[in-house]
Amino acid sequence: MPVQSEKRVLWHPRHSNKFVVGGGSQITLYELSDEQPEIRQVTSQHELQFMKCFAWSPASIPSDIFAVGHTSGRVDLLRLEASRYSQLGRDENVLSSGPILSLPVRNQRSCNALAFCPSDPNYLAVGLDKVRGDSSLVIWDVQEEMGVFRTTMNPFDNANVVTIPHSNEPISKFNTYPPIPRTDHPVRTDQRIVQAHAQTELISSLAWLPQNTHPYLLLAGLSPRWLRLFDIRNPAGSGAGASYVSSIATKVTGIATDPFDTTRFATWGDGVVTVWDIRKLHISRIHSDSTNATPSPTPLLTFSEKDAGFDSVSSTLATGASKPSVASSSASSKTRGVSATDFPNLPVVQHSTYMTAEFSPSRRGVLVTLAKDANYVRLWDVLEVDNSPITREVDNENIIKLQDKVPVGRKSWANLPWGSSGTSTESKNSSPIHEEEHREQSQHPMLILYNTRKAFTRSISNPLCSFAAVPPVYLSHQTISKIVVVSQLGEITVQSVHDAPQALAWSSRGDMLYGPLQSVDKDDVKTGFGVVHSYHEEQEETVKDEYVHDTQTSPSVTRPSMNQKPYPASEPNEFHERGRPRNPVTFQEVPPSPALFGRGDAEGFPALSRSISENPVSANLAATKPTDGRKEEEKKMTFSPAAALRVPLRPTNALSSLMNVSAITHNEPSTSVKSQSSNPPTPKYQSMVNGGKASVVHAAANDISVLMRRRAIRGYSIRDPLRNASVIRELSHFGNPGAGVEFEEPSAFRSKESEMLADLWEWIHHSQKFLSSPTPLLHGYDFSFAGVWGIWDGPPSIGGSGTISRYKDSNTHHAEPSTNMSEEYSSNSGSLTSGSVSSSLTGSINMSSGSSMMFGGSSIISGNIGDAEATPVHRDRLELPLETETASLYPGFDRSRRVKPQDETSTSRETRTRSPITEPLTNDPEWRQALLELLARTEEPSSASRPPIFPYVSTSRPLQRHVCLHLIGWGFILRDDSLMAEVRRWERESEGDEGYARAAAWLVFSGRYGGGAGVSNEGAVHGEGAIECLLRSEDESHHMMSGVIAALVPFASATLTTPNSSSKLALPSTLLEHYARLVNKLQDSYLRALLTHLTAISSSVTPSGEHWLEILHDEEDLLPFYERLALAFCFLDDAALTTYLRRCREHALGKNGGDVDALIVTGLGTSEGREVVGLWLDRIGDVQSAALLCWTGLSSSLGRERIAKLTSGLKAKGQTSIQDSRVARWVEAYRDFLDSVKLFHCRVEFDIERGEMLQIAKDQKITSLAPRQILIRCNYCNKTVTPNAEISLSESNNLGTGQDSIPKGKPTTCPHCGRALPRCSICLMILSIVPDAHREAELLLDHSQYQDNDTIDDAILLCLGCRHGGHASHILQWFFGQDGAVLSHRVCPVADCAHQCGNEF
Amino acid sequence: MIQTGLITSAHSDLLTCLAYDFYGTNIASCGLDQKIVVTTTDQSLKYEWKAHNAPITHVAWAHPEFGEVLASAGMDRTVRIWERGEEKAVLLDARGSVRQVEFAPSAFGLKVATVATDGWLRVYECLDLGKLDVWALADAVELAREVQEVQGGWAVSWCKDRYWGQVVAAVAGATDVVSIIQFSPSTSPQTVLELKLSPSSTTITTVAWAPSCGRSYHLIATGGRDGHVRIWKVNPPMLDVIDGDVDEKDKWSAQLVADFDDHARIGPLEGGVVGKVDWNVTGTILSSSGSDGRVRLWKPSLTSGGRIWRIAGSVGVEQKE
Repeated sequence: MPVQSEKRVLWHPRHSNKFVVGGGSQITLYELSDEQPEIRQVTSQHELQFMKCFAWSPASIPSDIFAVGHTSGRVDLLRLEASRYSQLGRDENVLSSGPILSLPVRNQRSCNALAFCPSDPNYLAVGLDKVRGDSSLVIWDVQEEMGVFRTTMNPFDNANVVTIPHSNEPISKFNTYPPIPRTDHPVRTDQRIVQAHAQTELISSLAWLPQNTHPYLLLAGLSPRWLRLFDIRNPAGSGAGASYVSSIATKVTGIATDPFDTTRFATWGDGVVTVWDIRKLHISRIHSDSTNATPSPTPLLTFSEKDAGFDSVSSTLATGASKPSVASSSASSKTRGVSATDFPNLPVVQHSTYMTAEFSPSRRGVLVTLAKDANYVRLWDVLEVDNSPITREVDNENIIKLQDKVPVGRKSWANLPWGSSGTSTESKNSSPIHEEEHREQSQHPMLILYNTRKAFTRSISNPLCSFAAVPPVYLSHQTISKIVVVSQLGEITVQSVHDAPQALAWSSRGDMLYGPLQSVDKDDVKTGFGVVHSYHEEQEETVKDEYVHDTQTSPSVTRPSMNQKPYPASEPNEFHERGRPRNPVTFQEVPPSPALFGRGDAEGFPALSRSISENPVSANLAATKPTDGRKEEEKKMTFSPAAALRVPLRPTNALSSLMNVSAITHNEPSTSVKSQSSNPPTPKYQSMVNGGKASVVHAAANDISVLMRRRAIRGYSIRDPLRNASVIRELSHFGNPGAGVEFEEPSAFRSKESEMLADLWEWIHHSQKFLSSPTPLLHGYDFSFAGVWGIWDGPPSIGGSGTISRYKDSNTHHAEPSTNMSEEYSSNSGSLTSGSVSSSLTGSINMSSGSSMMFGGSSIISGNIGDAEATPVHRDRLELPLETETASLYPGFDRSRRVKPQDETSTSRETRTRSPITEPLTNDPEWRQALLELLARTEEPSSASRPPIFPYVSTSRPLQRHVCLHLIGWGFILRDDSLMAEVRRWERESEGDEGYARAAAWLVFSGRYGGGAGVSNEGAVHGEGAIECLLRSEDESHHMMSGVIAALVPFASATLTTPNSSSKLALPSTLLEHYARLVNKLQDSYLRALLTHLTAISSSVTPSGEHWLEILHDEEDLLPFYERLALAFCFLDDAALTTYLRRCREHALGKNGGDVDALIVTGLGTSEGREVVGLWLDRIGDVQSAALLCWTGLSSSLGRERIAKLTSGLKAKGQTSIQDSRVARWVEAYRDFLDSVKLFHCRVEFDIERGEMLQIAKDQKITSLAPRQILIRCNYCNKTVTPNAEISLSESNNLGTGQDSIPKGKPTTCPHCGRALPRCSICLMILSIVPDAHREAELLLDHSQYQDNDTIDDAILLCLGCRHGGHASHILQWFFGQDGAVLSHRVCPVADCAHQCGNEF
Repeated sequence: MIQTGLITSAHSDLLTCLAYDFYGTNIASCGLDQKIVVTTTDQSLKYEWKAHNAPITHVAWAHPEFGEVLASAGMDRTVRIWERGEEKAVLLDARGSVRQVEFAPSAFGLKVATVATDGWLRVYECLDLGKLDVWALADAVELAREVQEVQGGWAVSWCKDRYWGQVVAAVAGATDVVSIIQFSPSTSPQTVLELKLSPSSTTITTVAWAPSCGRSYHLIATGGRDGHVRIWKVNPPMLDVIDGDVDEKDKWSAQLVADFDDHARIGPLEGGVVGKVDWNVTGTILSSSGSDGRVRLWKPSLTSGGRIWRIAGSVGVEQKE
């Protein structure tokens, strides 16, 4: 034990909750408790003036016996709590300190160390200073004294006996060992002295090894030179120096034993901690006997504070509290042999002497040290590595290589430039002999210093002088170590030292693991790892139910013929849904799909579901021409085996499915959304998150990753913007559970963002209904997914920047074939529209197309309906073919050069003239015609020749304004009746009274004040106006506001009627001020805008319109973006409008951009639009919306070329812009995400939808999004029989020119070696392979007879079980018989094959 | 409905690493008891075996397209490849304990990056995907020479995207410099960027490269011995064309966008150490664990575009019922 004059902490040897702090002249007993105060003083013993050291007896009864060593060498045995008990006990009046029994010493010298034998507490080892001719290590048998203490025990002591349930020191074990022999001490002074050792040596420290394994082994530090191990059962001899088992030359200040690994102990001295294995000390004896130059036994590990150099320095800097510890640097450099200056890259660390060290009793392999003058204790993680050779058979080279490099007793594996004396051998250049040695040594476990960390105590800034590790309450591997420290000033603190948990993991589903986690129950400690769930299947279940319900009422139904038909349950082929998931459970597991092929196997080859195979997009099976629904339907059937047998697997009645659609579309989408949102699962959620981990759970559960998953499950897709909007609205309730304001910000998706996104999807739905039905191609301009800027700005021919229809290369193969094609299609479809479908259904179909099919992507689905009218997007490609063609001849049609945005920023307020800024539309009659045609789609009464009159502001671009307002969805404002209808709708549908304010605001904006005052406008004709509107409200403040309006109307209407007269009524300035104040007081943004506007036009002599900008840029409480846009288009003059739009774009693309609603301005298919989406993604991480939006946008004609490059032309260089590659990345990231959360079906749906987009693009180069998965290889030449993809691609490019693309050669032979292919096992004819290109060409061009030419009869069908097969039609006939209903055969048709192929179906 | 829970560990000693597989359904854990345990998320034990002759430091899952493949790193200086608990390969090149393994994005094949306390970053590639037993040392970079094991930090993290090639962020030894190293089949590995602190003040112990999720920037989080969690916003070179050619003129660049010392200062202790940082699947939540006994979550402010980060909650590693 170290000799200390300072205070020393000693924990109870039997792991009770008590500890003592000794020092100076007193020892104080403390108790550590769970309650406050944490540390309680129990008792103390004073007046130990000459105390040098003390030791705590491990005896259980009584448990408070201390041995106190004095400077005189005398050792006193005393009971620390004696005085306390005597007070409580019989001698109430006497303050007795109890008996003190002394063990005398012959030669007076300081007693340096004391140690009770843990195996038998009656043995006490006393280490003394050196004196000539006398032993310094004396072992006393103090049984008598113990007996004295026991007899003086009072009854209270029994209550004080500590029994620890997990204690590994059973009391019964005491005295079970045989008594240790007595040495024949030369000068026996006392019978109680059992043995005496170490003549003329200084004992600096003593430690008994833990009792159970090595009961009577005593370690002694013979300062300054030796560490000796004594076995007191077997004192080797009476001679000097020979009584020890082994002796190691090392400097020992203190010894610590390891409670976990009892053969292990650590010594420290001079700033070096050394870990030894007691079993390895024997080696040294031989050596030390033979030679004086001791090759000392290899310690397991040697380290010093320097090994934590960087760490300690940084922390010193960080805390700034402790000064660099100044220690005996000379001594250190001597022992280490290397000075710190050898490491210029490391800060110089003075390594200090260790005061004390201890193995943690709570964790294996944790050594706690305290350096001198340090204000922290340091924990070292020591790991044991069993370096036995790898038993697995590896090549010998590797084994040798491994063992070559085995260093032993290293603090680190790597080649450290320094090394302590025992460990300096370097393996790299070692001789073979050394290698041999190393190999031998490497058989033993080695220790590695794995990690280190410090435990500071903030409350103690003084250097610490001692510590004691608190033993664990429960025996499990604990992650938290508690340490009692005492500072030089006597402050005592308990610290908890955590590990830095190394384990942390996120799953793709949003769950987080962390650990190790320790759960402390009342009587149990569980160790494991924690998991934070962010996604709850249960929660999802409830929503799923809602969702399922919703699906049936939702108008946004895609693929009506497949989805809406309620198939009987026994229908074998309808194993899962297309389009939206009807039963979302199927999204969790892959359903057992009775696929005819592509069943999936153990190699992870994905199972192909039949629905995929039926999909025309999946390339080879059908590169269909998406023209006619009925054909589509029939064609699909021909691909199914049942169709080959003419067995209707599903109802083909297009009429009935149409009826379904039309019936369903009568439901308003908004109602279904509301019914969901009115009952959000918020309360449940709140109750879940009110725990301590609420914020973590909240943060995880509201993350965008979880949100994306939820959305995907609910059917967030390209196809259906309205559903997307409703999904977002529904889920935004998860984002705002109201768990607390402080959580509002970090949640992934605030209501603002979700509203924005939902509005955007609704706008996309609306705008595409407007722009793309029947066609976005108008007079050479492609309006699909256009934004208002493109329409307002116009093409370059009239001086705009030309964001609309900016073809990169319009003159090449892209434009030409499509027009050719469309001509054919149009003739075809023309003949077919008058087919089976009655025209009376068209209207309803148009409705459905409006709600769900305005995308190009829906063509395939709509094809099922069987009416060209119902496929607007398809028809769009067919319509106006002649104009398109002629337009392409115009020079202006080639809009390849991108005109830079012209210098219109100079359009300041001064230029607010009524004269047009840009060229009139006459410069580009096509443009004008296109806009007129767009306008004609609305119910706007306008003649094609004359641009409509814009009612609100005099403008040079009334046409653009009309179109843009319709595009925003605000076209109703242009006409009174529609405006009033809208007003009614607002009033009716809005929650609370908000709709009244909104209606009133718009009525005021449009000059309809009502109340009989607004005679100036036609609104008066209806007797309707803002005043009446507000009066209808139930909100009294609205009633008051109506009065305000009525008061202001005379001023305002005067302005309107006589805008230029100077003799108008002007609002007095006092009133003006009042209204300005009132505006600031108002909470409702609509009312604010209303009043702002009314005041502005009432006050000024010539209303400038500047107040509009005030409303538009009101940062505090903005109106919805599209309403602001509508305001701008209605009331701003041309120049201001241009400036405003430009500002919107700049803001959207700026540093704080990324508001997706700016897409209304930029358009979806433009690179600007993609930039906006990119910023949105950067902000939110919503790769799902980004992928969906941009793929949607790319599908517009301007993106078609890019899609082609993205998909087929992966090797294309240089052409695609950055944004486009980003879209590909987004799509891939989203697909990966869906895969990782096992939403495979969602991903498949996504791919299908993307493929449909490509289908629309009609780019013949695109044959597949996925590589083909099965190839047939010739048995003889090992080459692929099917023509490779490149050839077929290039051939398919020539499709328009006719039959040239059909490859030469017989299809029944291998194209490479000419050998015949296998034969059909039914008809015995040689199988043939019709190249895809050939078939696709036929399918595309030969409409009249494609059924006959289809390849199902020739298709090869092979059983994967027995490898027999043949023509698909024959095989199917064999197994299914003529009617196809039941299996007629089960066994393979080949003669001697008994394979039950039929079971595979 | 369990929001947070405790999964009792099957380890008899301290847990050192946890890993979810690609689908988040299997959990692999390893510990000082030399065992790897694979459990499912519903806490049923799948496999448990003694994997190394020494404490295991790290375990990682391969992409499921390669099968149920695990790599483990141990103090016995080996990296071992496992398939369903069966040892497939032992990689023996390291001359120090291997501290971390991480599989490359599946687009690059079955590759695993390892970092060992000898200061070397090694990348192995499986040459026989059918048997998984032949692995070649594809690349090796010496990150640090003078290695002090006890105070160093070892971490490697792949860029989860394939567009910029094979890129890792790695740190080894007692340094605060995170090297971003690009591997390519044709040239030797190149350090394209170094994330350096100025003044250098700590040892980085853990590095995590966030899934970019399509964002225009990357995020790399580090944790240090000073208890600081730092987030770097890394701007990759612009991708000029889609097939992954990187414009040479553009360079990688990075800026430090967040530096939190919460792990160092919260609670009665100072001198905390960050044990591990990790990102969620979209790179929108960073979690960090520290020796203050807490796991903290960090999220970006919505409007900042990854520039402003905030704490989003914390959970303690000690539960008191």
